[in-house]
Amino acid sequence: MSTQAVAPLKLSDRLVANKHIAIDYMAWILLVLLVIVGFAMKGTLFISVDNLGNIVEQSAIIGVLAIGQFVVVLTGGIDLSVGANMAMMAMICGLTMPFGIFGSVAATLLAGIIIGLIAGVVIAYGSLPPFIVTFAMMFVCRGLALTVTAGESVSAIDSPITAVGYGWPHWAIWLIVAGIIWYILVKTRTGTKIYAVGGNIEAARVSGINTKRILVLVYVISGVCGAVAGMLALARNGVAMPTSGSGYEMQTIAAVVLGGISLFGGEGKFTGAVAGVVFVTMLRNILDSNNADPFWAFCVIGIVLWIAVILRGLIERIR
Amino acid sequence: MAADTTAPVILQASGLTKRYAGVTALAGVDFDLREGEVHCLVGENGAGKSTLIKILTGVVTPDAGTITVADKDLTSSTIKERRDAGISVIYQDLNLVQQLTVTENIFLGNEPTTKSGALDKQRMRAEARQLIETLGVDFPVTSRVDDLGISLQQLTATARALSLGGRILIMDEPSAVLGGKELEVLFAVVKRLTEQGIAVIYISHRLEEIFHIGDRVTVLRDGQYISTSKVKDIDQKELIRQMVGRDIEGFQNLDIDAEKGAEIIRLENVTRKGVLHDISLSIREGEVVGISGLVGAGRTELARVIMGMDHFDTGQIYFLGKKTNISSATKAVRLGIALVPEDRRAEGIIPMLSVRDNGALSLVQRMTKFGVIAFKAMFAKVNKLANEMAIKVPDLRDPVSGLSGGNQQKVVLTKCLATDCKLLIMDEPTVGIDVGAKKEIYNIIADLKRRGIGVLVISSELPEILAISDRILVMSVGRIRGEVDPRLTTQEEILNLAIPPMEALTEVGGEQ
Repeated sequence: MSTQAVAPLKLSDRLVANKHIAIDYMAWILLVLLVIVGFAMKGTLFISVDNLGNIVEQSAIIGVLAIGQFVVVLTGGIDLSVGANMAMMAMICGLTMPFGIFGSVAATLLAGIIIGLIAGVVIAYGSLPPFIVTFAMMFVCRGLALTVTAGESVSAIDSPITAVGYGWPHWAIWLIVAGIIWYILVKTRTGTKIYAVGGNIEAARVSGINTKRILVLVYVISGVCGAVAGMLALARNGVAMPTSGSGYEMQTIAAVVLGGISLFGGEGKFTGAVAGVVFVTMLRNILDSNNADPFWAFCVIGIVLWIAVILRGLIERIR
Repeated sequence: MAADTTAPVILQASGLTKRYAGVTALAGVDFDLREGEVHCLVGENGAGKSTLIKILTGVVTPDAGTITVADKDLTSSTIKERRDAGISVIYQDLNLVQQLTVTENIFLGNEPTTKSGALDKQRMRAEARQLIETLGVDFPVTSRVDDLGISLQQLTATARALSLGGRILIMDEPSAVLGGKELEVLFAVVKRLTEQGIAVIYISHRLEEIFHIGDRVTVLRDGQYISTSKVKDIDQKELIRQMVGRDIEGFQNLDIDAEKGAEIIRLENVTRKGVLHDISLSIREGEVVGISGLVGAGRTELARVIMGMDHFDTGQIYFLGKKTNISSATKAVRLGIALVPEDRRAEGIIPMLSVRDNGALSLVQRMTKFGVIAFKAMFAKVNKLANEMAIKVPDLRDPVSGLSGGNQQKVVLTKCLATDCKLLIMDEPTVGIDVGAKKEIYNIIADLKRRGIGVLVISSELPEILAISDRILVMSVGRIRGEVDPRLTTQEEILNLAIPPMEALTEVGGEQ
């Protein structure tokens, strides 16, 4: 039998094929640019092990939340409750601390699963838009966090959990969460299913994928990430504050978008999301260490987001 | 070809019947498939082809009838059980995840894993490469699907169907989006598959293809089983004769001979590369010109060019005798051209707005004084038109979403006519509309004619276009193949003009 030849990819095809790589690594390019800026301002002090270690450490809490957000966004969804969820989880962990560290951690993780499960089930089986469901969940979580102690903070200053508040134990937890999610996304069927549901839910369904179950799963992952972030925040501050984490949902979305992840779902690399998180923290670090008002960071993040989105649009138009 | 009549029957369906809300989509249809054959399925739009496919794949449960695959009764089995029995489908829209790679798409939902539960990517890539090779083609399996041309995407979908171990492959209009060399690749792939004993159900509008690759052909018409023949025992003329045969009752295009007015629009040699070739036509006041042709003949594309939504490369358009450059839809509307789009829900109406507001959409711009809308005058005009159309709605302030298809279409017409347009383009005006409302739409068209409006009607329904047009232009592969007089022509003649000869297909593909 003769083999019907199909023309090999032409150079122009290769260019088109590489445009996705450009988007996937956009955040890394931005990150390198930022490192150069930081280096120009502070010299070797900026790239010292101490300072870079600081940046990684400061990234941990928002990083864990952003990973949950990333997985949700991959399905074309959004989780607006991550910040409020984190605050509530910190409260739960602090309040259950009298039952011992293990019981407390288990209770918090369970609470994270339940929050994610509720949001996921309502979104998947109620066919409701993630935006409004998680928006409502944000109020519920914030309200609960405030109500349990009538707005008071909960101290956990004497708890052994503070051991993971600083230094390597702190960021190691980020690394572990990131590693688990990376493994799921890149190495398992579940990962491919998450991408498929976000890319073309109809194609996923006819491929025999239980799309509703996948949708529930991603919100559960985000809920658990919220629990871990809440515990990290409690460990770092020694107290759980019911008002903490406000605005974090927006920062995680910013990190995810900077990471080249499509808000429509189906595309985006894990490494991009991580680079996005580090970018956000590094920006604040640079402004901080130059005695600039760190609130400028928001403006800069906004402008960089614009640039990133415009760039992305231009790259995608290559045909 | 590979199959002969002695090959064992692998799929047997008998007496399949399906009704939807009183409409019979399929009435006692029989169908059988032999190993290694290409069994073509033909019929006009609405003949029941897609319903039959959906029943075979288990997406739709039949009201009556049985399906057996390899002597196993599968009548009440699920989609998954059918797939396990070896039935796989390549839908027209392919159902691929554009952002994933060829390999990932091939194994989606069915990925091989290593002992530790991780994806066996090496095995996936190797098997994907092997599957692509079985098809007799070669392209990188690590490419993202959206980086591939439509032809390679289709081959990806085919490889995917094969990966499931399918013995029965259903291809729903696989050639609709292909041209030229891509078609040859498709034919070669189909031939290769049948040589391996795989049975193919091939659905196509292009009859030529059936004579090219088919072993047997089954004709459906209005949900009825008409015939099954060996391709070598039948010719195109006979096939067409079996496909057509419906009539529209209760509507008569009376003033077909009435004096037409001045010319409204004239197209001279309009060409849009790879889409439209050398299109010349004219429409006069009070004239209904029908455009017939198969799906993909370039009819909607022609409407888009006239409407200023797509540019054209060469040729001229004269509007009211003056050479005009219709550069945008806004300009077209200002000139007095209105479009009733094919996809009513997506492009025709705003569902949550009221009937009155939808009708007024086209007026808002022009009935404004000092930035304030003259609501009274505007709604008076809309109400008058809506009453003339006899839109069935308790209150004109009710939302359009609750209306039937026919009444929604009347709302679209109200919107178009509110602009006092001179030329009305209607793309498939009665798709998804019940029989009674269809006649009302025809009567509205006849009325427009009397008022001196020029109408260009695009329709896939032959009886419809024969009933309402004063003249019919038949398009095929981007060209006007001929003009026929609806009183003298037959459905057979139109279909003969509409079905592209094989060379024509290659011609277009070469330009892409």
